[in-house]
Amino acid sequence: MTLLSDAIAGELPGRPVPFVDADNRPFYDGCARGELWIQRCVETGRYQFYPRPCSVYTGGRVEWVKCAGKGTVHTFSVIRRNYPEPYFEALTPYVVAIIDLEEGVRMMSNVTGCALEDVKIGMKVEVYFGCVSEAQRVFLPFWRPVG
Amino acid sequence: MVRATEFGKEMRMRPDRMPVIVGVALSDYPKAPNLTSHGHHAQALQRVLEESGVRLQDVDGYMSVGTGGMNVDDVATMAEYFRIKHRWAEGSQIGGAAYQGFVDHAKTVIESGICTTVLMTYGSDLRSNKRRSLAPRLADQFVESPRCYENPYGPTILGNYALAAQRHMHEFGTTLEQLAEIAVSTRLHAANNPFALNREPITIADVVNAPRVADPLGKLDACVVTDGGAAVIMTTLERARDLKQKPIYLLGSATAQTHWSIGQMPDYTTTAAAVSGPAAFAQAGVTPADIDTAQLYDSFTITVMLLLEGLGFCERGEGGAFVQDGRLRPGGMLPTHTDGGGLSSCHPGMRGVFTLIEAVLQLRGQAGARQVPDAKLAVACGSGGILSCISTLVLGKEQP
Repeated sequence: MTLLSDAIAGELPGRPVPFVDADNRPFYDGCARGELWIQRCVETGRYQFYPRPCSVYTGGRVEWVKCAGKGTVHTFSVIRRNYPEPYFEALTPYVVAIIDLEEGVRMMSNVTGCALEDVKIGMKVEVYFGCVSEAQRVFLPFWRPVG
Repeated sequence: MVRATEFGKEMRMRPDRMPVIVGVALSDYPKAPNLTSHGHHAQALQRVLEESGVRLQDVDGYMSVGTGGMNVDDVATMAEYFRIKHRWAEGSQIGGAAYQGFVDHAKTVIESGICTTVLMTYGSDLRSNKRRSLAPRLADQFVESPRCYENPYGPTILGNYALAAQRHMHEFGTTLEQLAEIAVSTRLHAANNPFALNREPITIADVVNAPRVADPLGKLDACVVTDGGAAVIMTTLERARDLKQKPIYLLGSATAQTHWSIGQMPDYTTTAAAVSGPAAFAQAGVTPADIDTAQLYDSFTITVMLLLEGLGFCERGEGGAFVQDGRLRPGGMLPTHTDGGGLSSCHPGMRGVFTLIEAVLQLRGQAGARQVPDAKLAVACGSGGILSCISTLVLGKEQP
């Protein structure tokens, strides 16, 4: 049995670092505070991810809202080989998953903190944050089983 | 501009402007260590001019995604390369659906009279040029939006398709053995193509027991990496009468997109084939049951299953049962990827144009040992991005 641990998120130097710009700064500022922020369409009240300067539903205005940070695994893959990327190859096997957030949006992330065999579609997960650049203070959301 | 419009008005009245495919050619594959990407474009161009009888100076429309790789040369550079005096250039980079998209758009450009002869070229030295890779180096680099929401988690190309495969297995009970049948049937076709990279037969057990690369998919669920290039020429039915090949008719064509990044896919078991497929079939006035041979974009086994379902060859979720009786094999009800596909023959990064060319060769009756007897109707379906943008062509041997 292979244990996935939060160490995956701990070994972060070397990961690609998100470029923080005017469109996504509230998202990454939230991550640095330990909060998950996404956007909501002002007109329809529907949520969207990833951050964009306009609504995907109407093209109109969006506002930022804080998420509960709870989700469900929608689908996932256990990545066993990643030759082109020595950093990730060293982490194999690891889980890339699509997470359904309670708010109704999806995002890609890694699921950690449990046995590989225990990762299942429908599994309840909660968000935590890992630092990918000390210098830039950039944090990413990761997910682990609830409780 | 005004002249082009007037020309268009005049020409629209003439039924002979029906757009047809009059030339198809491949450059050397699967390994061509002496050809650059530009060299693949050039060799395919020379071969398509020779086989079609079209003269380069008659080309007035040009469509290409360019070269890709370290030094990307786009459609404008390639037009300069071949000194093409075009009145319409297009380089829409919708990935593996690009050349189906080009054919779809060339139809309109020719019918409207803007152009009379449209050339398309493709070329890639993906296998021989070690500096090239489809997967960009990610580590220690800043990644901009929207790639910054995925790349830092270590997704892989196969892993992205595995997300769809995992979901398909979860929702419909699809098995690894059913997915494996797609690799097995494609390999059986490859045995009939002397140029195919891998021609030795494989079994379902071989595919299922191959090392997992990104669960649930393994090494033999994935396409090969090759060199290769291609060229296609379309013109009017009137012009075609003076050319060398029997024209192949474009009966239906449509393109649709649901997302680009895999994290944005609205439904992991439904692709835009469910839009472009029915639209193309409706234009053609035929149904999937009428099709004699299918050339689908087989980047991975799951890609084919989702395209078969989306195009309407079977219901959503029934792809596993549809393929498992050997229907896609040589001599089956629906011989599919008859040149050995991307899974066994040729995949230089963008497979779409090769599906289109194999469909044309089958309809001309020029497919040699792999010829589907009396093939009259074919589908060529390109999938670009990660199951993102799907363009579907219905092609026919006889004039509609």
